Amino acid sequence: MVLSAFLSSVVAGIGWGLASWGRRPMGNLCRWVYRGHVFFMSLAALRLLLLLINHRFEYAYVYYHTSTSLPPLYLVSSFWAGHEGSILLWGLIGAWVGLVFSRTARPLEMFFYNLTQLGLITLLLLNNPFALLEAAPTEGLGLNPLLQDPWMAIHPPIIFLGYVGLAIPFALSLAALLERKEGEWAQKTLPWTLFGWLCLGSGIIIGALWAYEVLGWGGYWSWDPVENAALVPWLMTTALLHGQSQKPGITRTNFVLAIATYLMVLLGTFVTRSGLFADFSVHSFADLGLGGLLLTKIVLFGVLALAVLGSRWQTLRGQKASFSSAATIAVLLGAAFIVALGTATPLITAALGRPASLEASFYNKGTFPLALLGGLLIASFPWLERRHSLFIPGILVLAAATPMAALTRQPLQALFIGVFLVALLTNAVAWVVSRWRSSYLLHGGMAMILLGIIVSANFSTTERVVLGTGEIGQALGREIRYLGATLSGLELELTGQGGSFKAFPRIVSQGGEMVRKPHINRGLLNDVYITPLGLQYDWGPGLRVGKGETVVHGGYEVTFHGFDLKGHQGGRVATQLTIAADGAEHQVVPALTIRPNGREQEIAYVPDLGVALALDEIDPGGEVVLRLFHPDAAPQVLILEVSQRPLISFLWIGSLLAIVGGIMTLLQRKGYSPDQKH
Amino acid sequence: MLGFLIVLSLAVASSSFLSGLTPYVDFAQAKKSSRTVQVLGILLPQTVEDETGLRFFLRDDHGEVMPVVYHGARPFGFDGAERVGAVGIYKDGVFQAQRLLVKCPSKYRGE
Repeated sequence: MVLSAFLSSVVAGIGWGLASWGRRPMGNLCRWVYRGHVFFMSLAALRLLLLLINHRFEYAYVYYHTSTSLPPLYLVSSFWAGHEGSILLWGLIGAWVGLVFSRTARPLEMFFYNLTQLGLITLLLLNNPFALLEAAPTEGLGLNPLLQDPWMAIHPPIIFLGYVGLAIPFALSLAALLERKEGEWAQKTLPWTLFGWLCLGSGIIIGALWAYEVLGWGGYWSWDPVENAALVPWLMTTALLHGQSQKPGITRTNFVLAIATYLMVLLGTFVTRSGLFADFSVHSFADLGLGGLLLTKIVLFGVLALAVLGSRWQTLRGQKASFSSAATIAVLLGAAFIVALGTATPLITAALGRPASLEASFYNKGTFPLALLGGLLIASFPWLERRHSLFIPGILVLAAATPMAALTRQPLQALFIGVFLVALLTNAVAWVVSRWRSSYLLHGGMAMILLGIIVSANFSTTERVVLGTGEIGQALGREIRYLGATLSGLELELTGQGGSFKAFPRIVSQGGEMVRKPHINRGLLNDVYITPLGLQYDWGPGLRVGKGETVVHGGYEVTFHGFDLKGHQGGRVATQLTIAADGAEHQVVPALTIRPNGREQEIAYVPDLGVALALDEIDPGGEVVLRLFHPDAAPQVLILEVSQRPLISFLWIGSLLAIVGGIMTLLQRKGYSPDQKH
Repeated sequence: MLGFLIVLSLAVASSSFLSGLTPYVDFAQAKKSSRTVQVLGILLPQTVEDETGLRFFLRDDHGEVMPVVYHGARPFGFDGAERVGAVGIYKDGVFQAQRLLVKCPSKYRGE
């Protein structure tokens, strides 16, 4: 069955490795074996996809991550919702990218690349997505509501594209070292490094965008270990890119960086999946028993890489790095180190017996001087080839920062804003003057991102507002009025600041959990971010009714038929009711979920009659207490959090610009020639 | 020049490290401490949310109970959570939470 598909892909992988692709001229045979590997991986992936789409709940993975009510897009994305499936996805992407790579790769390079694939398949063997349950349930648990979002659907595949992209420089490095072909290495590796950088960076930004739009707390980054596990390799890749871009090459540094970056990718995987951070991170998986295996894999790869590097260290020659390259790399690696240190702190302190975590302020404060220097370097990019390249940008920054500092009396903040404002401007001007050279677009985009980050972090304001239906309140210099609950959400009208708009934040029950969906009013200069915190109703008297009985209230007849057994999951009780008025009858199924610390009610709306029914209490004797009310008229109290976040748009616009700039650079730079200017 | 900047950065990093360190303590220690700490406890019934914030009670492994108030949006998964973590300062009889940590409900094994 599929197990044999697995074993075949293992055999393909091992047979290919054993054939020592590097040693003997068996090139063609190995190519076909590798194609077999790609074929079997694709087969396995197709199988999982079909199982998910066809609701085959007897498979544990399908049971835990899907349900019959899941829309088609998320049936597909549930493929990578859990650990086993995401490893399969990673392996699949790795297989296909490896196929592209094999067209230009030398045998030894493919050997090392295949090693990384082998590592993934080993993980997969021990964490089989095709495990069966003992009994076949008729319904699945459903996908985590937070993952039912288009951004979250594409986030993992793009991140894995990035990881795979970084495995290639790793493989190229080891092969180049062993075969003593360091000279050609930079030319071959740069495009792949750029590719990995673009994908990983895009994946990170998409994750931030998701956090901003879905999580409702108004932020986009929380320095969570899982977030950092992707950020640290990305920072290191950025350093590698700059090292590779300098001509002539700073060989030793580049090799070390290429190897270390991939090891950090593996380490990041370890962080995410080992359960070590379960107590400190909202994201991480619970302990899946993987820790030992992952750690062993990292150690093996690390030892191998060090051995290869060490054996060739003496013969590696390279140029001394220019000041700007050295400074850039130092800044990026310094930032990576600080983030990594902060992430590891819970583990280190726990090992020392005094467990502690680090406040988010550490990351911001700790990287501040580095970011400042980095901004100055970005600002000086157009002057890169000149001497004293920092001089003019430095003057510009001081010119920009001084009036700001005088106004706000916050010199450090003014300096930071000044640096990235100047960086954005110099690169924008250079982009135009150089006739659209893509690297200026890229650096300008990065400056824009950082400008957005610092301004929104420092100048956001938040207020809490409590409004009754129809009431007008004040928040952030605007009038805000609550018009009532509608099918699209909680209708709000905001006026002021030279305009007005409607907002529809929502509190919905999704998959058994109450999800608070914010409304974001996006603008170039400001985002207005509205989160519903709570909604309280006054629903009138409770109507007590027993099974089979009918109760009359306000011209409506409500009959309680019985409990709806289909909905019985995790403490949820649903009742089947019929409500009749003016000769029309409607069937409704309000529900109640009792939890240890509260209860959630699923209210049944009847638009034709303009009323709603809620299940309030369940008697042990079999009677229920219902509430019948008019949602439009029922007095409500809505608690809101309203925030104004300046320049958040710069984060997304800057990212888009940087990505476009990166793609154009990638397309132009498929070959690297030592005489080519940036 | 570069060396000087690196040393400066390290100095800044170290000092912000020390000031940002948030020890993970039990409730008895939290109540005595005047600095930012991290606590974890079982969420007790009777959660209230109104204009003064989200108020609830936690109980730690030693059986000690502590009232907590949080002024931000209720994190996803809070309603179904068994254990909740909080980062903040104990002041005037209430733990003022700056950040809440809620683990994904155990039925989700997803990312």
